[in-house]
Amino acid sequence: MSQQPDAKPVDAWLAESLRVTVFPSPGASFADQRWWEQLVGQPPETQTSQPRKGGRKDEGPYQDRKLVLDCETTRIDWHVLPAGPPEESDHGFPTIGGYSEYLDMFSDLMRAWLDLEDFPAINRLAVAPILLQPVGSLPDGYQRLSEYLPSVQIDPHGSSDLVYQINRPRESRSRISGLRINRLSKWSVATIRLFTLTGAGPSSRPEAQHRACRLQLDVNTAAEFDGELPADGLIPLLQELMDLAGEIASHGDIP
Amino acid sequence: MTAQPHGVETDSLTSGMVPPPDVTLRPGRSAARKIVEALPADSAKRSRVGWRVTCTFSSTTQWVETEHVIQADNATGLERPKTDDDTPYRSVQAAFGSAKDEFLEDGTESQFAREIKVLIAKHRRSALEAISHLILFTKTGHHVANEALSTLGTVSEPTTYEYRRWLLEQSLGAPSAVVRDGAVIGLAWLDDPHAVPYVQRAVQGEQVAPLRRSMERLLEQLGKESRWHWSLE
Repeated sequence: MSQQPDAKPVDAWLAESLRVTVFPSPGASFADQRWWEQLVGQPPETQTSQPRKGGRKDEGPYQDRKLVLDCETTRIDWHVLPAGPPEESDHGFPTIGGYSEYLDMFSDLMRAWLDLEDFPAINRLAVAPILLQPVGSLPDGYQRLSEYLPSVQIDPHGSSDLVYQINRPRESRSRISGLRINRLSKWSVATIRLFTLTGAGPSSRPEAQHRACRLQLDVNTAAEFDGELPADGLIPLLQELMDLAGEIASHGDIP
Repeated sequence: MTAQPHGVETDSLTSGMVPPPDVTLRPGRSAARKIVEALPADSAKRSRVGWRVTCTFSSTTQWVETEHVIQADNATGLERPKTDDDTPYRSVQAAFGSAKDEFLEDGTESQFAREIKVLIAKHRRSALEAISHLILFTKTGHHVANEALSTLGTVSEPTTYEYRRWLLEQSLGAPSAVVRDGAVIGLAWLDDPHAVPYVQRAVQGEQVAPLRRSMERLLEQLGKESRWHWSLE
């Protein structure tokens, strides 16, 4: 019988990116939305019309990070991404900073969005952060992963190419009857290599290489849910999804 | 330089790179920097762990290979439609993927070689950038890279000439002897004296005797006075 892993601080994780996605109900209209301006307080830096997809992408800086609003007829995504290249990061990875720190910021922004008057009716909601924990080597990474994956026996020194992905669905604790929540997580150790060509002459300095445990999360309301999610229940539901993501980041893969 | 045994994949070139043609680099600035990715999108490679280095050689070109999504029925990342602007990369990547299963025979034009030519004719620089990325920065199989480089020398598309020559010259420094061999063949087809200093440098460091002899023969070919004078007349 596998042991339940001890809770570890969520602060151990850096965030590579954060995403919140909603799936509008069929017939929901939001073509004229001005959510970016309403939430950020100024127009986006760039706005790209995507007529074939029936959508629009707004992008710009927000609190020293890159914020993207990607609107299509069938889905709406908000992303928080690193503003600069990995080499400008303290960790050598493309991160937006500490997970818990930016989760609070993003959570506030998303709550304000869900609360807007013209927020459309939706039938699905998702929270999908990608998290990183820098490690010194592949065995170190596997050792670290094993602390989060009690049901997986990892041989840190005699294995490679490990990807562990699982869905641990749960019933929602919200008052929305019959709502199931998918708790998808994907665990691996990733390597990033940077190659920099400089203007100092025909030479290269491609020495930078970093490794990290990588946790991709996709915590979402199940597609099988029939009907629209109640508007007055969206903010608590968002919080529930974020709590569940935090639980996986802290406790690892648990039922 | 130690030659890599056949079949062992290496990550990338680690020295001797120069920027591609028509790229102006500002001192202190990174020209190759855009890094994304998790796992390749095609199912055959889904088991591979790691991030792909996605390289931007100019301010206007970048590759976004896959979305940051979990591949699962219950995930919310799957519905995103693929964008059009990454078609050249995906096409080239698909050709490289298919070539892994093709028997590549010396002296016979492979299906892969034909696809490479078609893709370069269609996508021009974008195709070359994708090929460069796959050969220089990913774990492309050595024999596939060899075939691609050999083919580059026989392509007649004129607007990509300098880029093809650049890639061949850079590939002379590849960790794999098989890849270096492909570069030698491609440069022999190209028959451009511009490559002479690159080949000279490669000869000095070449540890694999048959390959060193191929490079020396290439130097002889490229350095022939008569050929040069003929071309002037």
